[in-house]
Amino acid sequence: MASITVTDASVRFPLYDAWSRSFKRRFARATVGQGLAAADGDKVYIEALSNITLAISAGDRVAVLGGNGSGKTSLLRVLGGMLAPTSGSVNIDGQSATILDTGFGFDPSASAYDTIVLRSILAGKSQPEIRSVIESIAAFSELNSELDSPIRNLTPGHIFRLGTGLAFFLGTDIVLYDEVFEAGSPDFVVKTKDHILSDFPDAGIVIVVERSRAILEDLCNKAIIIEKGRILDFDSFGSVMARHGPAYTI
Amino acid sequence: MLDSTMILIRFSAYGAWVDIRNHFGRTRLGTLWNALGLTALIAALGLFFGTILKNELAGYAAYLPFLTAGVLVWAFLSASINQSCSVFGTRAQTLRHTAQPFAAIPISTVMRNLIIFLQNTVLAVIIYGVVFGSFPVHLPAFITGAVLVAANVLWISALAALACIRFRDLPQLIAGTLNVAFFLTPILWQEHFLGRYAILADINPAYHLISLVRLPLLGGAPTALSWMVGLAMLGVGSAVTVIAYAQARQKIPYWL
Repeated sequence: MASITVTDASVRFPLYDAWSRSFKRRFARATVGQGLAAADGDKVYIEALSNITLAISAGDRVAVLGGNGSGKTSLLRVLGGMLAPTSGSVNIDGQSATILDTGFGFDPSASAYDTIVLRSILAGKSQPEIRSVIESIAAFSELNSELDSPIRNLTPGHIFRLGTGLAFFLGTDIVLYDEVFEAGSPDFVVKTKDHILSDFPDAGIVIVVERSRAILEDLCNKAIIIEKGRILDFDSFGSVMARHGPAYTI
Repeated sequence: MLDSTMILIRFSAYGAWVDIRNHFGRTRLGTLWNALGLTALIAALGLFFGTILKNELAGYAAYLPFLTAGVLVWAFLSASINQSCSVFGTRAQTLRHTAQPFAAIPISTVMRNLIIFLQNTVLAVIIYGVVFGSFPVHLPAFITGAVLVAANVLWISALAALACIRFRDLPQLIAGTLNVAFFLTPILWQEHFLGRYAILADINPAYHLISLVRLPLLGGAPTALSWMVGLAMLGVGSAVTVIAYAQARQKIPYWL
């Protein structure tokens, strides 16, 4: 059963300048020592997430809402296991697939077919299982000739279909969407929602960053409001919408 | 652990194959372009240095195979390391948004260059056989030497990839060092030129890595010293690399 537990997690991105990225300067400091010592104060950080604590359980379908630059994507990267917090801890039980944005997360020069094979290998699939995954994804995502195209030649809608297919057919327990539903055609968005509601494991977790209330209402049982890297609210979807809905959804 | 190692190897190998297909797929000659480029280089270097050094050499028939074998191994080594220096940077967007083993990226790079190296070596051996009528390759020594060299290139490339994503002036430093090392290593010139300064070859790790493959290709066997240097480099280097990746794994996304 999937679960995600985040305890007092913060994410600080250092803004490296040329000096900080210099091996020559670091080497000189290590050998010369005092004369070139620099205090930590000359480093600049972006505090993307601050003291985040939350627990997401098996079966949760969580909407993540927030303004631009509020930390939604950083939160998704932490919840998906792609980014370790700089302080605090995150414990992820389950296999995650991430669809962070159309085009990101895929090698643009690889074909859709090669992307499926590579992701299947990472998921530990054998050769016969990989063939089965390819057939399942092609059928669900309605991608046929598009499978041979490089990712860079696919439309955002095709990439959404590919990413969704990968998430659903690689035995993934935790699926994360980052504002990608707008790229999907209406019929495929409905198909995706139906799959999440009926065929996606009940014990799995789905986390959606999305502004469309109509999409979220169908999918989600919980909602998180995040602003300036801090969680403002985390409760049932209905309660959070009652308090904050108009400010964060359309 | 065995499962995750096998996944890493399969993922890296398929990634290397995809890279080769993407890089050479729409060209008329495919990976043979790489062989053609090296052939032109070897022909030019062989003619030039074979002529100006003719009093020191036993002749073109001895010099050209020596030069060819050295250039082939150096091309594999330098391409793997130089490409690894930029590999995390060029794939930063992909790496930020997917959970995949970071080490797979430089491993793929080395595998890709290893495939091209093996292709070029087979071609060189065939050409040598056609021209000189024999194939003097000491196959068991070549295979074991090539495996040891590839393993060393692997840890060096992986460590370079990690260091270069953190320190952005390192790629230039490494490229410059490799350029200088090419001339200081017996590739264009033979080690007997050093005379009483032969120790300068003995303390050059690149010389030993090249010898592990070059000597078997020329029908000989590497020295015990070259084996010891190769194995010692592998032991120490791979341990340092594994520790570095373990320490840096959670920091890499912040360096991208």
